[in-house]
Amino acid sequence: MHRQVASLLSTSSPGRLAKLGSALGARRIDIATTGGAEWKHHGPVTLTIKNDWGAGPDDQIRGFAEVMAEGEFPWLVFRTIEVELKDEPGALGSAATALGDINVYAVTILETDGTNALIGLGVRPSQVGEAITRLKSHNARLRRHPNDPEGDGWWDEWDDRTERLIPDFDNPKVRPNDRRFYQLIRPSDQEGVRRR
Amino acid sequence: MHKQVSALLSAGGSPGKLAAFGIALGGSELDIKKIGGAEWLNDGPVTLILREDGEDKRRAFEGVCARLQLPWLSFPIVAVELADVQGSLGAMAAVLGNNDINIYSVLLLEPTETMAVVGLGIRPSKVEDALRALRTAQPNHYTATVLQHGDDPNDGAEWDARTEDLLPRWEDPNASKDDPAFWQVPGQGA
Repeated sequence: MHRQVASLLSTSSPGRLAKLGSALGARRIDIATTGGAEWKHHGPVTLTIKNDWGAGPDDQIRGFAEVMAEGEFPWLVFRTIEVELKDEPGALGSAATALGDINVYAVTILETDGTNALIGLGVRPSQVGEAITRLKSHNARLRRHPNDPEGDGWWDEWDDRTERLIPDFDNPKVRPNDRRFYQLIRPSDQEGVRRR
Repeated sequence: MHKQVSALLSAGGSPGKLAAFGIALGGSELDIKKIGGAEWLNDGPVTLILREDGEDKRRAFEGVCARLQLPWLSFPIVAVELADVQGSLGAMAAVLGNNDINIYSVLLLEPTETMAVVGLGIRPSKVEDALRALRTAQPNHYTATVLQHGDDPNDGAEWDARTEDLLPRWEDPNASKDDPAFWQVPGQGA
């Protein structure tokens, strides 16, 4: 299962996209898709990393985390549910409606051929199962990667990080660029994280 | 000229905003060609491109945003074809940054195995400067153009004028991020 990163790119721009893009390039981290906007110089951008499986020799999540720490770019990574939709008015709204009170933290069109579109909806790891259930109950067609583990076997330390940080992320008293959103995780950070 | 719209989807609270927006757009027969975005601490601007954004579609979009009180701005799209290699996006963005040209939104438009076309939302008055800077800096590394309708290169000039009118307010730190001026139908108020 792929991931979708939300990164707080522009607390002051211009130049931040260049800084991030150059830093990722220097580490040979390849961005598969990106999209985002800023509003009054507050600009989260979502992106997907080509090799984001969290394990194996080609994995780039750790390198990405190091780049973000060095650049002090706040970021969270969500799990991407890939939904195949007819490329027609209202399709995205219908899929989002099916999710009900499950928040979509990031959204990207991953592929489109003019007839169908593959949409990536970024949800928190602990809500992936429920999100899939709800989407399927609305007859949504979901894409599953052949190598995806069964159940929640995909869960890893980066999912723990997201779940640990979400309470801060939702806390209006926590600054958007709080260092916890970019500093590297240590094993001790994960103690006590509730996965469900 | 195609536009990249920045819409402040979730000013202070989701879920449900993406669904409401998507349903409202669909109800007005507005088809999203591309979309991307994320939220941070419950503020979530998204950027999108409408598949058709002729005059009737633009009026319909204005109506949707007014009904939902959804702040939005539109920007002309400077499309840049990049080699799909690590660092090309950063190098291109650095050219604009070095020329003090802000990128208000970014979308990957056409990824292929070897190239990627990236759409950059640039303020209307800076489009020519952006094109000049990109073509001058590294002319052999990428091509830059403006996404246009073939039959009407001046299409959407009123949206450009709206953007230029609103950007001073947008830049004003004392102006609310969901100020009604950002979602009212132009010329009609709330």
